[in-house]
Amino acid sequence: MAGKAKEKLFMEACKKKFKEDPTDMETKYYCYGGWKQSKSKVEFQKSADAIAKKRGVPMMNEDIGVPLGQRLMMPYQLSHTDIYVEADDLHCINNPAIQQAWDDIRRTILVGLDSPHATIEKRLGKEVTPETINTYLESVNHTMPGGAIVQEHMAECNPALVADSYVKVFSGDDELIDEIDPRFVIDINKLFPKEQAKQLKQAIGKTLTQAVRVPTMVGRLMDGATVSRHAAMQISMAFISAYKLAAGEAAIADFAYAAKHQSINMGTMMPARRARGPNEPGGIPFGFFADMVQSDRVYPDDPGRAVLETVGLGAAVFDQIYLGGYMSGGVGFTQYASATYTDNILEDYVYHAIDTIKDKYGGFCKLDPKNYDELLKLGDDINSYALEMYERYPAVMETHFGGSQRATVAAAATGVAGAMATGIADCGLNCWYLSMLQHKERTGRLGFYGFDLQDQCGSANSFAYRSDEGLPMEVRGPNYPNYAMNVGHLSGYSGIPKAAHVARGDAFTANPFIRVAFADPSLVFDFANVTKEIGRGGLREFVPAGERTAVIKG
Amino acid sequence: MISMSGKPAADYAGIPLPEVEIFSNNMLGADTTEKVLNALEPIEHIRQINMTGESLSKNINNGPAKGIPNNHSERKVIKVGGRDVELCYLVGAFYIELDVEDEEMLNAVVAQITEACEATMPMGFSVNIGRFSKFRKSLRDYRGE
Amino acid sequence: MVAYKRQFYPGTTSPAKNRRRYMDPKINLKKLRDVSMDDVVRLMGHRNPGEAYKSIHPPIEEGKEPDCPIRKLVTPIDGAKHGDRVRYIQFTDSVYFAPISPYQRAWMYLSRYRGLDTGTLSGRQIIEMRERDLEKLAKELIDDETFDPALTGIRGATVHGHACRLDEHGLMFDAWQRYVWDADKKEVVYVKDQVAIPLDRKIYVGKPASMSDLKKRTTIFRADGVDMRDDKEVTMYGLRIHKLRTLGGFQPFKFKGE
Repeated sequence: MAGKAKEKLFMEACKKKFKEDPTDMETKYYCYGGWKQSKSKVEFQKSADAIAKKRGVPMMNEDIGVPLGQRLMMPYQLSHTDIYVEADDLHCINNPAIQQAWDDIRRTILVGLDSPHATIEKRLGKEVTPETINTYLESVNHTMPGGAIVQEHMAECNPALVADSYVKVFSGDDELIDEIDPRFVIDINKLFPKEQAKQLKQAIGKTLTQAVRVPTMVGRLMDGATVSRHAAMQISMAFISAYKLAAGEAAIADFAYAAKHQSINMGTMMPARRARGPNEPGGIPFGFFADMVQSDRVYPDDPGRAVLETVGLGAAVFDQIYLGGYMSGGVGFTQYASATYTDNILEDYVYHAIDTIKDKYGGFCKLDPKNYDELLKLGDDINSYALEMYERYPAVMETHFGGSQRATVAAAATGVAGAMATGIADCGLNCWYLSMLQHKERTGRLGFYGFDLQDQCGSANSFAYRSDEGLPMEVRGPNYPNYAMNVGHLSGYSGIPKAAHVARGDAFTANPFIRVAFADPSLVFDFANVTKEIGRGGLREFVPAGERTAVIKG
Repeated sequence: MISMSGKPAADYAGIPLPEVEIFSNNMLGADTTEKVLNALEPIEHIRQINMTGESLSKNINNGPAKGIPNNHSERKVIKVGGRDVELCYLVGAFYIELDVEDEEMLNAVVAQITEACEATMPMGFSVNIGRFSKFRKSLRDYRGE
Repeated sequence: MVAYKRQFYPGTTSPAKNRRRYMDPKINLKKLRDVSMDDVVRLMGHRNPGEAYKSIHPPIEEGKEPDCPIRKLVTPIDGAKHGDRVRYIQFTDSVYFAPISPYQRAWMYLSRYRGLDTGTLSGRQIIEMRERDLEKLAKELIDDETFDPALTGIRGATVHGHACRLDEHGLMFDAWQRYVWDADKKEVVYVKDQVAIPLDRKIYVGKPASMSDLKKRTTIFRADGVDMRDDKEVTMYGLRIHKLRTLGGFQPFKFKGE
């Protein structure tokens, strides 16, 4: 930091349009005990000029003097956007974008077509060609939203309620994809940067996979486990129709079997004590989750953003909806969780970490993960920086007024640093726990009691791989034993495997199929712009799916 | 009397007009807040002033004393430009939205604001220029419609 | 077995030394004020001074205790003997160089006292104990050097303030204003008990210490005070604990004299 005119991002965000000299800020602003006030050296930027010229400002009532207002807190700025909203606007019950993010995850199931095609060809003796596949896709895009296709006198769903439901396919086989109707294709070559597309196609191979989106309404009315059943039923009907099969023959069961059991749910099964079915948020591995976030596809040169977007989505889906709603019940954990994706504070720490890694090691993944002492040094550096910011800037301390917020944000930055420096998510996780122990030692305080439980014993499980002791970070999830009850951690945990893999230049973190499925532009929630979408939700600009206005007299 | 809602004092501009943040080194008592506001009051091109701080509830809102008056000495009515303002917070910062046309005008207003604060905030403060507040309505603003 | 000599805490800097001092039960902490026992009772608000202690069970000696070797091993504290209720006092410590902070409170309590249960959060730290023992302990903690009138709050509920800037008198924010600044005496005076029920008399807890004094007395490492990284031993101790735990959970069989 010394001697470098680095912007504090949380300040920069505040001064997006009107900048001060960052060095002034660095040395004089907000310093507790440093009473000296800096002279404002204002650079009135072009954007501000334009605004000033264009604006049509509603005028105040001159009769009452200067309008005065007072409030407890400043609005929250969604990180890396210019959107400001209130805390209430980020509550998952109020915010339709947060709801749709989880809806879009839950209603997705990936179903392979290779197995049913083998059944059709080898058991039923019928040919499968690109033409028949196209016919099938037309059929399944009729059945999936709730259209009847096989029997007469069937009731159908109102299209206005299920307009978000569809099926698309993708494959690593360019020749096959070239012959499929492009309306039904998630085109890896068009959607991903060249190098990422190459990696994904290689990982996926020749197999043809359906990205099935059942109606948002189905997930909301039933549950996560229904998604595979809804998909299986409607896929079977489409096969019967497209391949002119007899609905009663035993081979049909193979289609349903493949759809239910040779498919990828977004959430894995949790133990019975969680009292949840399959495909619920607690079962989503962090690696799957990291693959859903698409920032590194659209902004491949900004790995920091990819990490922060993953953290943001983790806060909303895991901390707010899952732990705050599913597990805790009650009014949720908005204030605590949103600390990681608002006001650019974690942003500042993560970009500082990236600069430090580049300065110290010449780039990502250059720190040998076996060099544990050096990893600890890096963790110590980043964590100290994060904690120092709270100490030097009362505004930051008051924004993260609870120790739990500070602990999570400092640990997330430290964890992300360890992951990016080594390219190993578990090294990042280990740094997370280093941060927690150091934080407690330094300040004499940490978070609520849960931090004693989880974070002070976490060092010991961070590298544990044996199945009853631990797992690689990519396949841990919110249900990992110590993570299952402690809000405010899952956002950071989600970001750590993402950090390792974007640092490596990987096109995916754990699952290339999920990665491609969420690149689909037809999704309602834009997974490449998580904080922006949540902000739009707060501004009443986001339009979710599954609304019932079409069937309500209005 | 000026009402004390969480909404801004003036209508949302819809665009990010510049704001001056005066961030006090200490939380300010009601008397100091009154002095600062009265020093800012005559400055031209201020569109609105919003203060933030720590909430001082009128009554004790939980625990065994729930319901009895809080009687916080700093929660009181102050006079700003001859108007009564009921202060509900221990103020820590002022966000002053400006109605200026260019850099020169901005600098001039910021200089006046700084001068006013220097005269009334002996314990010190910092100045920052940017955008800190909402400039568009959000979900919360539609409550009760 | 060689007798183990407790070291309490590593480090050479003032926060480290203060941590050691607070934890070492052989060190008598400096008494900086003398708030009367009746006033301590008033501040806590669990009973009125002079009022009998409420009991939740008959005195132990009158009861029929089960034949339990652990019960025989442990000498009950006075309040337990008498069947007192478990009551609490809770402190809030400002991040701005309060003399002590939540974890050090827990460590100190458990090192110096018996018969208490304590809970540590970022903004508050509670002690629960049998009532008559709690009162004695509370008086010690209000009178001694771990308490500063401006930066330590006695707060049973609505504890927000540890992370806030101080007010114009240097006092930590309290939404319920349990204590106020007496400008004439230049002292802090409590006007409400720990849950904000108004007191029928003012309780003076003395003059706040100067910031320079607090910076010497605090247990908190801060970038604008003593940075933890400037204390090599404390830093190494933290890293060592983390490293050993990590290795222990990974390949414990590879330990070689760590």
